[in-house]
Amino acid sequence: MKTEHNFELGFDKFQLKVPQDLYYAGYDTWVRVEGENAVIGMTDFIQTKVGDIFFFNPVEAQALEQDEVLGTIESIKATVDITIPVSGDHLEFNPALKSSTELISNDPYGQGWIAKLHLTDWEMDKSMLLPANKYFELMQEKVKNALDD
Amino acid sequence: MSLKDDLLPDLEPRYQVYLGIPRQFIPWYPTIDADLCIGCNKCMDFCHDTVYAVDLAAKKVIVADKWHCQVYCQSCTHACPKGAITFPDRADVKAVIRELRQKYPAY
Repeated sequence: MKTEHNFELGFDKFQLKVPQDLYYAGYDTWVRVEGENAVIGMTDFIQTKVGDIFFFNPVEAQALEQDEVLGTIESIKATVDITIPVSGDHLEFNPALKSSTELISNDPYGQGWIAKLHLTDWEMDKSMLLPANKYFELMQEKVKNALDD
Repeated sequence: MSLKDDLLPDLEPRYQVYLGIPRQFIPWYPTIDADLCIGCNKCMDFCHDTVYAVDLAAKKVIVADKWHCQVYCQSCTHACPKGAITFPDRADVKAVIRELRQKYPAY
């Protein structure tokens, strides 16, 4: 389904959204470009994999390259690495996640953002990312596979 | 040669490509140190992509379908209580993927 701003898919108890104005990595993270800076988060799909998140552990770094580990999240189901979809420096993490990790699941594209940073290789990084319509196709495939398991 | 010609026919379609690149050209998959593995199967329980299987004779886990491994996912390492699972260096794999992107253009 496509609404004005999102692609959407119902799955189990979830309504999975894919906002059209973001770029996505195949490993279920998104990036919102704001000039020379970017905001990063996890997509709606991750909550179907890990359930309720009770801890977020960021890496200790000021700069990271695309595809490096940004941190780990812990849930009742598993501990999962988060991979950063873009390269950048001046990395800062969402301070709200220290006390409210549920924001990652409850508002993944808003208050549940993971990190902000200054982009250092955006044009190259972009060639390894997906636009919303392509990520939505990938997410639909993942959901189908999850249903088949 | 087209992308289709380069795909491994025995792989399920969902495992054949990563971002438009034939999966078997991307060297990302786990390696298990058999001396450390205690056969607890926690990695198997975690991974839904049937990367792992049990060697019943050895009572240890083996990597059965390495091309099923999701590129850059290494969360199974957190499930292993013995640290028996390792992955390639991400920077090395990233360099390979960026090189392959020249041959297999982005969407």
